[in-house]
Amino acid sequence: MNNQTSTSERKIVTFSLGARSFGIDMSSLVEIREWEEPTPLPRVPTYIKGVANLRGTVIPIIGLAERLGWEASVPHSRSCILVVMIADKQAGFLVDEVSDIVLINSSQIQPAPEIEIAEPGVIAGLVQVNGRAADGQTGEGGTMVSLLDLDALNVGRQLDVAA
Amino acid sequence: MPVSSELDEIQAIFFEECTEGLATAEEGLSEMAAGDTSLDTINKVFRAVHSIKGGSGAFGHQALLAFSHSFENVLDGVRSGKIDPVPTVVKLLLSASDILSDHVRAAQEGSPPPSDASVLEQLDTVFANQGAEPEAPCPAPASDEADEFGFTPVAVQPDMLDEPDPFGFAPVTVSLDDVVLERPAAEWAVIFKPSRAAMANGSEPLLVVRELERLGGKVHEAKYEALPPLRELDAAEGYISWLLFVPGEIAEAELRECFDFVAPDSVVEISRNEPAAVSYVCSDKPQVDSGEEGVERPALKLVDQSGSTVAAAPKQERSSEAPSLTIRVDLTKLDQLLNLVGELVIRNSILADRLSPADKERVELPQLSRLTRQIQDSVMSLRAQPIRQAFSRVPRMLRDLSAATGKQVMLEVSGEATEVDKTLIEKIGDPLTHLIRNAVDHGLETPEERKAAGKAPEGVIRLSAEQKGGRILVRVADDGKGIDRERVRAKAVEKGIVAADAVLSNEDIDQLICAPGFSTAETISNISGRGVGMDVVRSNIEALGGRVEITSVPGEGTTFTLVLPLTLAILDGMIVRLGDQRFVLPLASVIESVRPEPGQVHSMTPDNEVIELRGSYLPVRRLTDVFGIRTKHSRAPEESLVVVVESETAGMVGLMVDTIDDRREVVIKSLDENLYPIRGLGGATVLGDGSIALILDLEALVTAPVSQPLNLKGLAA
Amino acid sequence: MSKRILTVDDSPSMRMLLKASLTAQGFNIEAAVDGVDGLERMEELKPDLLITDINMPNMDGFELIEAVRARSHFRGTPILVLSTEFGEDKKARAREAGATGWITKPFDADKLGAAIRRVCP
Repeated sequence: MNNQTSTSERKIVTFSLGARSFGIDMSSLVEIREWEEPTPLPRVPTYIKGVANLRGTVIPIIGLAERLGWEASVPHSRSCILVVMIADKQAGFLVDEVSDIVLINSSQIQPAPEIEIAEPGVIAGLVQVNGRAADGQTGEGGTMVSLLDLDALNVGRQLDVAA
Repeated sequence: MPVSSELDEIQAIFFEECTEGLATAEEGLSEMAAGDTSLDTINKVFRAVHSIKGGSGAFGHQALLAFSHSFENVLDGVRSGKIDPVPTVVKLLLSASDILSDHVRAAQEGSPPPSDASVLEQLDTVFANQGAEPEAPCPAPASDEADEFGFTPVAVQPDMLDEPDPFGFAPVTVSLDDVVLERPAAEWAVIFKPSRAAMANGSEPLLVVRELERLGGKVHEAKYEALPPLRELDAAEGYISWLLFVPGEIAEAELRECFDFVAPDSVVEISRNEPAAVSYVCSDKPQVDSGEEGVERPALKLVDQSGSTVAAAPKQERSSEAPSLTIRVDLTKLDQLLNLVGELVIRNSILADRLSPADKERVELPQLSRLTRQIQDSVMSLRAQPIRQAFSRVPRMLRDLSAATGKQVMLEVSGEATEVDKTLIEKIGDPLTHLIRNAVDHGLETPEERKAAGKAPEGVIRLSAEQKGGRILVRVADDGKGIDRERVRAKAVEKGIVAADAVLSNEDIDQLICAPGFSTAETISNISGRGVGMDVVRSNIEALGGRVEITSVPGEGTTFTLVLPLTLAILDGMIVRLGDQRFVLPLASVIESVRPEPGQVHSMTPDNEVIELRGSYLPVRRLTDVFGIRTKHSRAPEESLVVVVESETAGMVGLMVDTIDDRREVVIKSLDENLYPIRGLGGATVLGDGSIALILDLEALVTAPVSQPLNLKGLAA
Repeated sequence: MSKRILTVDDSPSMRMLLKASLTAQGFNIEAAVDGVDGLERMEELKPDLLITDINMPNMDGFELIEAVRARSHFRGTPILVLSTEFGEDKKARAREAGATGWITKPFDADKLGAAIRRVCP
C-alpha cells in the first residue's frame, strides 16, 4: 500500500499503456526521454529490454506493460521512456504516451481493486483525474488513473521466475 | 652500460619527473609572485630546476642543460640571499620557467629547442650582477680533471700549515743534495703521505698504492721514521710515507687521477725523472729549498685553496613541513590490483545472489560485502593524486591568452590538494583547457569594457576543486559578462537545435552551448584551436561518469562546474563485435585471435565445438549461444574470429565473435548500480559514441552450460 | 664478492640510471630517496660504499654525510658525492663533513666505476 500518509497535494505524471492510464509521483521522475533502442542484456527477464546510456550512467530500460503482465508495448513515434528513481537506483520505463502532469490531493485516492493485476502492491490506488482525456477533449468525467507504487516495481527485487 | 631500451625507460621516467618538477616550480614561482619569498618556497623552485638540470646532462640534452644551468644559477643566487627576489626578478624567473617547459618538451619530442637567447641573457646578467662570476656549464664527461676535488700536487709550504709538520717529514721540495739513485728510463717519482683527515674521510691509502701499482708503479721505499713508539701511536694518524716510481709512459693526468680523493693536506708529490738528469732523492730532513739543478719537475699547481676560509653555505632552514613518506608504485601493478578487486566485488555480488533468502539474512554476508567495498575504496584511493597536476598548465595558458587577447587576467586557485583518481587528472586536462580558453575568449571583457562597466580592469578566473558528498567538483568561474542568452538561443534556433517557439528556462539555454553542433568556427579562435567544442567537453565529462553544470549571471560572470565521480574503475579491454552489438573482453586474458580455416573448428556434439590449434584442441563457445542472442543466421566459423582466452577455471578457451574492433581503456560501469549483477557480465561501459558495450566475465562464460536465456512470460492475467 | 653500494638521490630517474650503470659493472646497488631514508638504509645495509647527491629534501647530502660520519661504525666507510655542482666551497664543505671524494654529474660510467674502485677496497 502506498505509504504516503500526508494529505497534501501531489503532482502526478500520467501516461498510458495501451488503453489504460497510469500515474506516478512526480517526485520520482528524473526525466522523460524519447524512445531509443537499448542495448540488450543476456539472461534477464524479457520485460528488461536492455540498458541505455543516461548521461554516462547505465540504466535498465523496462517494458512497463510487460512488467505489469500485459502484452509488450510496440514502440512508436510517441513512445517515451520515463526515467525514474527508485530506492537510489535509476531505471527507464517504456510507456506508450505521456499524457499530463496533474495536481491531485491524497484524499482523492481510492484503494485499488484486487483484479487485473496478479501482483499485489503494484497499484497503489486509483484516482480520478480531471483533465484532458486520451482523445484530447476536456471532459468532466476525466480518466481513472492507476497510481503505481514504484517501490514495488524495483528491479532489484528478484521475482520468482520460472526457468 | 645499460641497454638502450632500459635507458629509454629510465629517460621516460625522467621526463615524468620533469613534468612534475615544472609544475612544482611554476607553483613556487606563483607563490613568490604573490609575495611569499620564504626560503622553503625558493628552495622548492631551486630543487625542481636542479633536478631537471641533473637529468638533462645524464641523458645528453645539451640545450636543456645549458638553459637549466643558467636558470639554476640565478635561483641559487636567490636562495643564498645574493639576489633579491624583487618583482622584476620573479617575472624573469616565470618567463624562464615557461622556456624551461618548452625545452623539456623539445627534448622529449626531439624537436628543435626553443629560442631562449633573450631570457638566457637576462638570467646571466642578473646572475653576473650579484657579484659572482657565472660558473661555466659543467664540462662534458670527456674532460676529467677539473671536476674532482682533492687532487692537488700541493707544494705544502710549512708556512701554509697551521703548525709545523710535527713528524719532521719534509713534504715539500725535492732536493738534489743526496744523489742516490740512478734510474734507467724516464719515469715519475711519486711521494705520497696520506693525512689524518684524508683517512678520516674513508680514504684507504693502500688503494691508492694499488692503483699506482696497476699503472705499473712500484713502491720503492716506505718511510717509517715518523712512527712514534707504540704507546704514543694514534691509529688515526698517518705516519708513513711512500716513494713510488711509475713508468714514464703513463700520462701525468692519469697519474694525478689516482690521488683524486686524497685530501689536500695529504702529501702528494710528483716529479719526473729524465734518465739523463738522474739525481733524485727524498730526504727525511726538512728541506725548504726549491728545485735544484737537473731536476725537472712539472709545474706544481696549487689547485686547491686549502686553509682558506670556506664560505660556509648557509645552513638550509629545515622545511616546516613534516617529511611525507611516499612510495612510487608502477601504475600497471596498481591497475592489476584494481582489476582483481573489481573481480572480487563482482563475485561477492554473484555469491550473494545464489544464497537462499535465509542465508542472505546471515550477518556474514553484509560484512563480507562491506569489507569488499572497503578494499575496493582503499585500492582506488591509491590511484588518487592531488589535482594540482591538472591545474599546473593553467597559469602559463593564461599568460599566453592574456598576451594574445589583450585582456588582463588574474588567476585564483583553491583546492589544488584535493585528491582525485590519476586517470581523472589526465582526462580532465583538455576539458579544463577549453573552459579556461572560453572564459578568457568569451567570458571576460577587455579592460576598457570592464572599466566602462564599473569593474576592475583585471578579470578574475577562479579555478577550484573540492570533494563534496562522494563527488569531485571542479569549477572554472569568471567574473566576466556572463552568457548572452538571447544570442545563444538565437543561434540554437538558427542551427535547428531547438524549435523557435520552445519554452526554455535560463538553465536550459545555458546548457545549449554544450549541444552538438552549437560550436562553430566563430567560437574557435586562434588560441582555442583544435575545434574542441563545449559538446565534446560535455561528452568527455559524461564518459567519466560526470556532468557539466552551468550557472551564469549576465554582467557578473559564469561558472562551469564539472561534477565528477570520486573513483573510476578502468579496464584495459578488447572490443569485439557480435551481430550489431559490441562487447568488451579483458585484454589481460586474451592470448590471441584466429580466423579459422575451413575444418579447423569441429563439432564434437551438436552443442560442443572445438578448434584445433597447433596440435591441441580447445573448446569453442559461441557467444551468441551463451547469451541466447538470436542471429539471423548462424555464422560459419570461417567467417568469424575465434579469440583465444585464458581462463582460470577452464584453461584456454576460444570465443567465437564476428569481428574485433580495437583495444581500449574503458571505464567500468557496474550493473549493480541501477540493476543487479548478471552472470556472464562484468559490467558495462559507455563507448565514445555514447553506445553501451557489455563487459564480459570470462570465468562465468566459459564454465556456464549452454542454456536458453530466462524467458519470463510475465504475470499476465 | 660484489660490492654493495648505497646510492641516495631524490630523482627516481637518476637512481635508476645509477643502478643500471653500476649493476652492469658488477656492483650490488641499493637506493634511498633522501637523507633520512639514506641514513636508515646505511644502518640496515652497512654497505661498502655510499654515493649521495647533495640537493635533496628532508635531509641534504651534507647533513647525511655528517650524520653517517658521526657514527663510529661508519668511520672508515668511503663516501662519494655525486652532484651536478662543482663549486670549490661545496666540495670543501663535503670534505669537512667527511666525504671521501666528489664526482660531478653528468658522469661517465667507466670513470665512476674507476672512482669506486679507487675508494672501495
